[in-house]
Amino acid sequence: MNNTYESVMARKIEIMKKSLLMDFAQFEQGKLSFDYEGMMNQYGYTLDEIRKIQREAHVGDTPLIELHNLTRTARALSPKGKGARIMIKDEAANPSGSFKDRRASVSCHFAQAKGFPGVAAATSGNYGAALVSQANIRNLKTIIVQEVFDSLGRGQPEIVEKTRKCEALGAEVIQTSVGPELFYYLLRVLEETGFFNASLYTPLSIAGIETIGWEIAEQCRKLHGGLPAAVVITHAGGGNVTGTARGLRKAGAENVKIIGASVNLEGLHMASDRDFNLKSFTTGHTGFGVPFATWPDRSDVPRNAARPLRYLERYVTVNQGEVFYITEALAVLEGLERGPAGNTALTAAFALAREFDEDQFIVVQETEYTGAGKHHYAQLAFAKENGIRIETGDPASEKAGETIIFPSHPDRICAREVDLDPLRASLIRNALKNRGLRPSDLSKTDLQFLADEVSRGTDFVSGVLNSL
Amino acid sequence: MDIIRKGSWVQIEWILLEPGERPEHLPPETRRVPLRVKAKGILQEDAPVGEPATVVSTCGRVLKGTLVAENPPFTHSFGPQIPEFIGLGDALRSLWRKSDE
Repeated sequence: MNNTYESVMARKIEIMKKSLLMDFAQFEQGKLSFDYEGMMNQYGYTLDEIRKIQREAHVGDTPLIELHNLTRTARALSPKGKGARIMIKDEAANPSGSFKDRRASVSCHFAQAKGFPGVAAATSGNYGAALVSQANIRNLKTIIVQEVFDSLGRGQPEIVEKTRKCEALGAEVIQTSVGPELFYYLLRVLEETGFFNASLYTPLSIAGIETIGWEIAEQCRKLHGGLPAAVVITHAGGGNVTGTARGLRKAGAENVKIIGASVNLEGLHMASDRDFNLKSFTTGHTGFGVPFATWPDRSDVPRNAARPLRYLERYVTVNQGEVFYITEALAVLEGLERGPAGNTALTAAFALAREFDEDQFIVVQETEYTGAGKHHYAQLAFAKENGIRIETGDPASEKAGETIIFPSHPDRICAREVDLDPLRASLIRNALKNRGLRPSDLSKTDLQFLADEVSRGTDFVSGVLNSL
Repeated sequence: MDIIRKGSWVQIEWILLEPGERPEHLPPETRRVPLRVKAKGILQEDAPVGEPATVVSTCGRVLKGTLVAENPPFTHSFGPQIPEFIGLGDALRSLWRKSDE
């Protein structure tokens, strides 16, 4: 077998077919379109069945906690009559400590049912631990490929912790230096082992997240007599936004506003050996959030089930110092010690609560576990070692890779609006560019597909195409 | 030189892709260095650190590389407290309005 980079990448489609039992070609339509809903339904699990699978594996039904003291703080900074109540879905209560258990649960159920000997994924985040945890329940072996260290061998503490946790749960962990080629190695692993490809971006993975949206709607109706004004979602690869929004819709909560939030890491390149250890967040940031929104199929499967621009109604960013500050506030005001990356949406919600009325409430849809390496103290110590200046002042002046600025006052915490229209236009441009197409090549089906992709009308798509 | 015994749980390292084998779209500082990989397994023959070695991984795969260490510990930590955050709870509570109590 020829295992050069080019040869393995050339076998990608074949490897995918065997490792996912899915032929993505069957959904292709037009010049650049595909049948998204058809793909989502291909494995045939209903939301009720997924709830049952997750219950069997101790996943989901996590508490919805009202953050009384953070709400009081936000209210104290709000104009009279403003300051919505803030609730948080405590996803750290899942077996491996994050919402990623939901993503892993359905893949592991499917892999077991189809007789795969194990599961494998390329992931440096909480998903690795989630996959091993769920695979153990289903008596499957697990291989996790992680991007951990730079060319000097220095590991990002948060990812080193993920290695530890995966190994503690019994996985085989392959650690790589900086580079997207961990996906190349994963393809080799899938080919060698015949394991199931438990990618983060398959329909199984995204369907597993839909239960969060469904639970939020049900819990809010039962505990608070109605639906939230908004759900704020930490946005990285797009699965969290996509799955949660789809689940809310399935629960009849179409009017709940979907707001994505990412940590602003503008200026740092995700594949840079130099920038790798200058980041204090390894997920939930714009380095994933923007490229995955504007080109979802850059993922490790031919068609990504996570398509956030179909669902996002607002997108905001917060800065690293603000998220660390709110992570500390969550601990000292609410008694909840949780991981910083999972608090990205909470930080945005703290700022956004001031826009909403007092009698409204908003839901932050996740927390994650914290621990050595991924605790905010560990990340701040690591940042200092890497020459990042830690200051107190105006967080708006923070520059990722150079400074981390704690707000001198909580009213300086801000959810900075990202205009979605340029991202939508970028998705349309990328869709054509990646297939070498001109606007005149597109059929009616393609135009409608692009309109659905960006959740706007065909007029908007035509406007972008005319400007090309 | 320390010899690690056959049957020990060890870490090995190898180069997966040399700079010239890496994809062209990478930033130059990444493409300039090789893609390195580390993995753990059961050592198949006695070997000194720094020399070639073969291990069998948790999932039974045979992996070859340079022997790095016998069962290296995790050394990541929680780090120290952050002085800027001492007293944050009191500071935030002092902002609360009487009307919200």
